[in-house]
Amino acid sequence: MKKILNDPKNFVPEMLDGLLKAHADQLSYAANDLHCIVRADAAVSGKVALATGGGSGHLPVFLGYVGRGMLDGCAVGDVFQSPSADQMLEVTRRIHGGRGVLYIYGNYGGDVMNFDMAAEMAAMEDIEVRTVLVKDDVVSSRDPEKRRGVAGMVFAFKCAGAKADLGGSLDEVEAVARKTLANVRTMGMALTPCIVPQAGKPTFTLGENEMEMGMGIHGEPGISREELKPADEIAERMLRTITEDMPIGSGDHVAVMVNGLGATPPEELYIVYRRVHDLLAGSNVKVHRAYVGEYATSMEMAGCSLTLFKLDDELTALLDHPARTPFFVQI
Amino acid sequence: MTTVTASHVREALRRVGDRMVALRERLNDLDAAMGDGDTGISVSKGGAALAEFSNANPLNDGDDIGKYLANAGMALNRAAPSTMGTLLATALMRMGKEAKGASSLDATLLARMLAAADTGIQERGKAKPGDKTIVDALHPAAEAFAAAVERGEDLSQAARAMLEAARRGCEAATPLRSNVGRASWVGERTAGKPDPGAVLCVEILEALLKV
Repeated sequence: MKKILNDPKNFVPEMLDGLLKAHADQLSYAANDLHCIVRADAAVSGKVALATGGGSGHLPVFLGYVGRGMLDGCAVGDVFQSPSADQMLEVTRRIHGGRGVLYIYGNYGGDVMNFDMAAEMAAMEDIEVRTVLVKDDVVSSRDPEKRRGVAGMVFAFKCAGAKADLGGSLDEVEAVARKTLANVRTMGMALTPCIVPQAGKPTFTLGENEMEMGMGIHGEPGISREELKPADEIAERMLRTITEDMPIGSGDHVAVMVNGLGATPPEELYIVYRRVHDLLAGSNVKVHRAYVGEYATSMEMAGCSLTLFKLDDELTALLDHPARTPFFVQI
Repeated sequence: MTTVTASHVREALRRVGDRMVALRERLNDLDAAMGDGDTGISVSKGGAALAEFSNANPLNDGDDIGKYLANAGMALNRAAPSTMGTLLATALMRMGKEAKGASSLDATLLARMLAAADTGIQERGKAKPGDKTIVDALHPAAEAFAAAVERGEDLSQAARAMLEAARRGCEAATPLRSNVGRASWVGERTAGKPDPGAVLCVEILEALLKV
């Protein structure tokens, strides 16, 4: 293992300490616990509050989207581990502005159990909580209900966050989150594994000329391991898999995200984007916005994911609404 | 013995915590055969938190045992927010909710608390009997305890019936295939291997009864 570290045990607290110091104008924390990240101006009175949470190791997911126009709070766990229910509850208490709280997070067992528990405890304190699970990873299961949540969750943070910023009710914000996620699909591919600091060794191995299609962002196996292909073929394969699951055709408008997993340079991501853009243009699909960069990573894993977000007028307006967080700025 | 008092509860919590710590390697080994091999780590972290909670928090006669158990559940969850840790925390919190306001626990209330723990774990983990989880030991144990109380048996007789039922449930789950959670991805390879959750349940009940 070769990482910039002190004691691996302090990886998460030291990361959080640095992050809070770097972005003190935008972020703070609740309950004297660095793992309970909230907007510096929380609670925003009269606004529906949005919270997420999950393990560390995926920046900017999850806490990177806490800020104006997106999320109000985030509970942060150890690397690839769920935060605890009472950390989620602390975040919930601190961000509640009187109009309810919406949890939006990825479909992982530990996170689901802890958020459910936090919601029960919040209900006992008369805070109304709703939950929307992100399940955008098309290849993780044939059953849409069992899919994992990956980079596509950023679009749910963005649109639901915009709706809340515009004064929407809890019902309306929840509906936007569900509608957004019904229109979002992601597929990923990896070139190298990641290393969890406390484990100290890679989570799997890949040969020099191999790639893993459809892997998870915690080192879970994918759908196939195969010979490394040129970028255009990788882009076509990911786009085809997504559009087989969510048909996109002539006249449709979409947002596209090409997301780097942590160790792939932006140059390579743009090569992938180029092919996706041309294929969509060839089908007379209009790209309303393109997001190329790191939005949901897996430590130093090399590789990328492709997310498509099918838009209508309402979702387009919400996607275009301004937002500002330490990792996401849109004017 | 007809009732469980505050001091019994506090001591029992510490015994259970210590047993969970001692199970670290055994549970890791059992879990390595079907999951990612870290159940023992989180169970021992949770156990240490329970023992520490018991040491740090007095529970005197007249105090609210329900609130105490719910707070112990929170302490466990904070130390071990893993799947197993969260399930155990849920059990403690549901038992606490059931016993809210009580300063001693009689057999009828204990039966309701066990049933609440069983229901809580099934709801939280989305598992039912036969899925090869902790539920396969806990559910028959809760039912056996309630039935014994219903028959008019005293607390220690009911407790023995509970432990026997848990042991039988754990053994009966061993030949099954895991149906939920990470272990379900391993599928048929789990058949014939003891389930770490069911084993843990038996051990916890043994620690409660000082077996």
